Amino acid sequence: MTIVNLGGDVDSVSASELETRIMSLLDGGVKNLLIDCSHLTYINSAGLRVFLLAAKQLSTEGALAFCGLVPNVRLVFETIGFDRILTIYLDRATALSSMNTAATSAD
Amino acid sequence: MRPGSLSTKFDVSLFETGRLSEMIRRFGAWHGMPEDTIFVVNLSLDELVTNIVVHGGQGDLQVHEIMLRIRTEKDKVSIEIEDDGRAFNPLDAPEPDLSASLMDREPGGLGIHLARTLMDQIFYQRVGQRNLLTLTKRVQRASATAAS
Repeated sequence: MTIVNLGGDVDSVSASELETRIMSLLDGGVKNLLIDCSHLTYINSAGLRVFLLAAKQLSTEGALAFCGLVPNVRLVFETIGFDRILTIYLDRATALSSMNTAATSAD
Repeated sequence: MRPGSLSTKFDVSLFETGRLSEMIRRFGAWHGMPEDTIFVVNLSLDELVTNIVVHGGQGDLQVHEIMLRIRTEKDKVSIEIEDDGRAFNPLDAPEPDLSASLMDREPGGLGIHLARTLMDQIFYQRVGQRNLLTLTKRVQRASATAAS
């Protein structure tokens, strides 16, 4: 399980940095990734595109999940229907217990 | 909110969206705009300005400047975004299929969908050689809601 702490603002400029970092994790063999958004205050469609790409890549063999969405970020996820296609947990503790259980039962 | 207005010009660069956000946050805070309104106004403008920077030019018809005018009234935020690029209506973009499965979801059109959904109204007009987008967001004052 790899946990990424994503904080601050993800805008059109910083989204490309986010893409580079997330994709290098996946290229490095990370299969189970949790993105903790507790300190994420802003994200636009450029950043959401990165989440979509990563989720597609991990969907066949692995898992991508999100936790700790603040109300504004949750609104963005819901507005574009990402709450229906991505896995979102309330907080990190819930995410870790659910994902570890899932990983164990998958073995 | 306190009534007020701001008018400014942006260069045609994605780096300007950072300055745009900073400006909206300061203007919003100063005029008593609720935090959630600041967020959705900022996001919608970010998406629409990004769209102009990325798609607004073609061939000889490049965008040279983007004008932003924002006005607060008691219960309403009104915004105009104007550019001198080719005739380009971002609202023509197809709506993303929100019911598609993960593997069938396309990343395109999300920004426009966000702006369209989070604002109360968006209109596009071609005025002479310029594109004009007019946005409105109504704001329910917390105190007024409690009193009514």
